[in-house]
Amino acid sequence: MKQALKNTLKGTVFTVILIGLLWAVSAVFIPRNNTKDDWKYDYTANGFLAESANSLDVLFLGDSEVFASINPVRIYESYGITSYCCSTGKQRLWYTLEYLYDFYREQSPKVVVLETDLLLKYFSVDDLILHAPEHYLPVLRYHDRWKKFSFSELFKTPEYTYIDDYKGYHLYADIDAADEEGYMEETDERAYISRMNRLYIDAILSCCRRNGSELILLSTPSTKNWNMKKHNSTQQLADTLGVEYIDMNVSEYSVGIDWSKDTKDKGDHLNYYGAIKVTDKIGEYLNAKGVLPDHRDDKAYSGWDNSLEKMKADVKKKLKTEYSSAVITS
Amino acid sequence: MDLSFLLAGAGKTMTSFFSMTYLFLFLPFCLIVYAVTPKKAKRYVLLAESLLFFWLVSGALVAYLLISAVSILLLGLWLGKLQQKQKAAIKDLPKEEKKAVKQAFLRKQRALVFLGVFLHIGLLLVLKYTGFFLGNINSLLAAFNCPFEMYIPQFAMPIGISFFSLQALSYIIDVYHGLVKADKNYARLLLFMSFFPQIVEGPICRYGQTAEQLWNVGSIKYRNLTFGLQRILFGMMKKIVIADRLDPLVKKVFDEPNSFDGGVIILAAVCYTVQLYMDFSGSMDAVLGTAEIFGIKLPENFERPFFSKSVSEFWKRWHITLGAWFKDYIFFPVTSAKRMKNLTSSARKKLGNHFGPLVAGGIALFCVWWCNGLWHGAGWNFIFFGMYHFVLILSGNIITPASKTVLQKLHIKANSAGYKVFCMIRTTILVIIGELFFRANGIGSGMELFGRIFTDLSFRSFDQYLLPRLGVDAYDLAICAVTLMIVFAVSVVNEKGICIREVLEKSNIVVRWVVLYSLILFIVIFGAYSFGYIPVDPMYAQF
Repeated sequence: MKQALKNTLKGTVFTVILIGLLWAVSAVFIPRNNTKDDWKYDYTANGFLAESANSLDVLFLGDSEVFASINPVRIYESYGITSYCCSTGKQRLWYTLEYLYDFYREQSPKVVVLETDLLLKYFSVDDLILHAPEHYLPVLRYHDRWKKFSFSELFKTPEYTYIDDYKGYHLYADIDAADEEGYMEETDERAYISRMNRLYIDAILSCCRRNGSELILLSTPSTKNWNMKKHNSTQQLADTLGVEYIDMNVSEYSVGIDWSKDTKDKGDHLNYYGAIKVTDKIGEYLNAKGVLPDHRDDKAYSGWDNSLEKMKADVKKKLKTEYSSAVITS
Repeated sequence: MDLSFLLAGAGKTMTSFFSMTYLFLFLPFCLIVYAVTPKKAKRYVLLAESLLFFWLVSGALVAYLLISAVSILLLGLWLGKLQQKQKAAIKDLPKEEKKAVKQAFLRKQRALVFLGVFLHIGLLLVLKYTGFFLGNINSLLAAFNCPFEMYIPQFAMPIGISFFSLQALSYIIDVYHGLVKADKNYARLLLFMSFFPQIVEGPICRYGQTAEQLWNVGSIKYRNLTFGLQRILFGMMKKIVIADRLDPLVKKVFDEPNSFDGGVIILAAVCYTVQLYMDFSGSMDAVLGTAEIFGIKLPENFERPFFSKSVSEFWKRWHITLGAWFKDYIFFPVTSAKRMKNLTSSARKKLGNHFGPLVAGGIALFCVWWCNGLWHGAGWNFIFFGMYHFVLILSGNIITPASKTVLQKLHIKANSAGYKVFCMIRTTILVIIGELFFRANGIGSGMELFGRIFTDLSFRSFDQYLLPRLGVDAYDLAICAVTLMIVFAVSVVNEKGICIREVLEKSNIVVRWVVLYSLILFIVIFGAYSFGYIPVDPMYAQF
């Protein structure tokens, strides 16, 4: 018995020291900046770290559907509302929650919009066990930065300098028409939202409520990723949670996507033209809430005007077809 | 609180012993439940945990395992009964009658063994090879412009069927030979068949090696726990730091055989051989380490194979339990068959004492390597892989006298260090060529890759764009090289008969903990996991 206690104590001490070591090593591996070179992954989504504190009023969360569909700079141009897309390819809910926590450190968004594609995407227990401790022991996420290690960085405190002019949006000019067959066919069936996902959705909602933000669920148009089954289950979820739900795939919130021109990859993601339609609709919706301030005449937000100019120049350079000029001027 | 959803879908990842679900959820759960269970019930807990593991990975297909165990239980008991009857029947018989009665009983016993072989190999053939056989028949029909095409059914395969089928057969044959007694206890047999650490990738155990150990398991000892965990850690380093890091490079070159010159193909073949060894032996470390925690000693599957001086020796050190199975249940039965013995004695007269036995031995070797190739997968490249080793080993045996003469004439001592190193390098090159065909996506692709080594041998692709194109960078290759050096150093020490874990056990706690923390931090920092990496399934789980 005495020996067993001794061994248990030894194991506990070993584990505590190990956690301490991992914590100490984490300090070495935490990126010192949010540039592409420093973060390596998802640097555009992390551009919000360099934005002024409490300067972003809306946060868009989700997978690639978000960064392809929502253009925060255009919302700013139309309504002066400042927003940011913390969206990454194949984002899963554990990562969404991470972004939410990070965002609240310096920002106080009044509205958080969660794109629903990822609500029904499976993520394994493996992901959960691997990624959950990353929040506390960042070496588990940034361990690959050993390739960039330099002693000069060792005693530097993190300082974020990369401001993303597109505010997390990705501009796609390609057109690859979608086949609409079977898209949003009527059914009463419901897709399955896993219990693991449900746990995370609850955590996201309670985090928003704790911080005084309104959570809105949004389904952007996609023939490949969305269907009536998913709509039904998301609607039921929204009703249960007591949050608003906008599904741009159904007629009630339709934005008139032309599937022969507004998608970049056969209905998987929208291109610039499709994004304009979604952005305008969501901008109008947010503005109608009447709680989000117009920052257009505020000098503290002049950086947004610069971003707007840059984006306009980029758009002109990238889009040269007749269709695009018709959309841009409309 | 219902936490069952945590294991929902866990089977997808649990085939890897380095998956988070296995290491931080399933294994601790098993150890805790096992530890708190009274000693007499531990064996049943171990069985329940094994079946739970199988069910999580293969769901309802666990039925295959249960039925397989039932079949060997019944066949074993039947064999045992026949052996008892035989004993009683011949007890008081005169010598000349004894033989006839014995033969009659042996015939019956053989029929039962054939039934067992038919059941298990038949099932394996149907589940694993139907697509391959029917696909080839369809290709043949198409070649003769025959308008008929056979429907190829798809079967769901339970995990580890290639492994537990061989274990089942070994049990029946061992009972037949009287090496083990027929077991009346279904639970014991089932535990022997299903012990969860070994079900995915082996080792292929014999009833005599593990059944009693598993049935008489005791409490978890602190020493076993630490030794087991240390071995798992070492395996993890091999798998996560080396094997998984090399995966993008290997995949790229083997998936695009026409896109690279001979130099890159050589690099990829070397990397694949390293990857396969690190992946499989790393997984074996996890398997044997887990078993060690429970106090169970499973047979080793690797014994530093790249120290081998011949291909024949290599296969005695690589996937040892599979090689031993083929040797005991195919090679020996074929060579000891009456006709083969006659063939050997007549060949001995005509060809002499060296070449004579090689005739029957060659036939047996052919059977072994045909089966070995096919066991690894339903594809012509696997059969080619088997035949390649058959030719190498047989020709190695044939030229032994000639090579001895050459060495004598050149005044080279076979025991000299230089010659040994030469033999090791030669063996390694031959193994790498075999692995190239093994990994290729079909025999055509293998030939294409191998051909390019000779027809397009250049290093013009080795520019600054090559590594990014292969999905790796110079740091990746450098850390693989450093880790390989660590593995090599450990192998050298092991080859000298020194067990590092025992040395570590005797050292003071500071040294011990520093070594362990260093190993853990090494894996955490240099492992290919999390962001930017796609988890790689254990390579032998697919066989």
